[in-house]
Amino acid sequence: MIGQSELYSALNVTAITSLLTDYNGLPGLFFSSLIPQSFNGVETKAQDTTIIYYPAGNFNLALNYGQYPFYINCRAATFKTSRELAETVVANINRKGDGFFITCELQATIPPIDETDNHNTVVSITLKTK
Amino acid sequence: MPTQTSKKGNIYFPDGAQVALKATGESVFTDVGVILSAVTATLNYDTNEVETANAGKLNRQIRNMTLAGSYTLGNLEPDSITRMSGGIITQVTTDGTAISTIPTQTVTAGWADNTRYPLIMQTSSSDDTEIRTQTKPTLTSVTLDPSGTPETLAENVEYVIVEDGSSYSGWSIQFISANMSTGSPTTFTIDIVYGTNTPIASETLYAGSSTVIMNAVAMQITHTDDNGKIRRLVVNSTDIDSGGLAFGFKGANEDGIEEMALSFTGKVDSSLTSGRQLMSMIIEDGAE
Repeated sequence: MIGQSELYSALNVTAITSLLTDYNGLPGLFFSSLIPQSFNGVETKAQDTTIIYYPAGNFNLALNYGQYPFYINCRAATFKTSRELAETVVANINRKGDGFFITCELQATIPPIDETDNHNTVVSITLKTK
Repeated sequence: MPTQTSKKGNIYFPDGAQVALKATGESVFTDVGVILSAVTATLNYDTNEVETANAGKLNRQIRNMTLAGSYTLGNLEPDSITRMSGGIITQVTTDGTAISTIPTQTVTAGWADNTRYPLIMQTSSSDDTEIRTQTKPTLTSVTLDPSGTPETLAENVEYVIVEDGSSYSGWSIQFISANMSTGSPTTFTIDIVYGTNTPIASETLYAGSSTVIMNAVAMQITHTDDNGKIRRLVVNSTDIDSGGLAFGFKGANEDGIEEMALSFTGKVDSSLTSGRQLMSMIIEDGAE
């Protein structure tokens, strides 16, 4: 899918994945609009620390280069963990890329609506590709 | 319809640039610091084109090539403002009270030759306000491997202190491992113990004469990618435009930071090779 491989390569770095919940050896990093109910044989929980990332708007495919908006949702049981995860994401991907380029905007943290939810700090990004 | 072209090798993502200046008489370019806008430089020239009465138009001749440029400075460093003024502004530095409490600075192991390490002079161990000095800092000692087998390093033998506009203090240190007697010296830390040093208390910028002969300033505008490759525009000789130095104080109700909008004109330097007298643009292969 458009942008998936670039964002995965940018996010799948130890500085970020070491902060995520481990699911039988795989970090909680999902190209999806929802956290899966289970992953790699492990049930996910609201207390888990995960990243889900997905397109944030329209892709203008008439351009001869790519400029795609995405949301990177940094979810965790506490405000502090969610916020620190998001700031780590920004530190590692903002103005970076090899063959692509990412710029970030760090948004306010959204508190959980109930016990099935968790804190979510959204990093709104623009992914640029050639 | 098909994609009209697949030629994308020189698409560049906007990522800002470093502006560095070299005044007449200086040997290195000095980074001006934070800028708040795009840096532009537009090539202009006068044209001479004659339409004959019986042979159509003659070839166009151009002359008086210039580059009209601008950027907005966010790092309002007096040195930079003076440097870009080309002699309109003079800078006077006033010293403060000497300080003898500057804490020891440690250069971590893994240092390298041919690398400048800024000399960082804090006011004291309880006050990390950094100071700048007009004159070369006084160092009590520079010691390699201070907690193991200490080797006292000598200035101009095992290290040199250089004036460095990129260092906040104005000075940097550079080491010469080949002259050190300790084996594998770069694997050890180095402690720099400061003596009494007199910090700069203030800078005053002056301007105002009936006439000033301006000195041209060379300018480099550089983008460096993650692999260290550069795209760089060099303007060999620039003068700040009238109205190009805009001093001001923003109101408390305004956004952003204090800034200075600058505009300049690059002109031909006739001492250089013809065809290369105004500018050069360097694009390293693979630069992003």
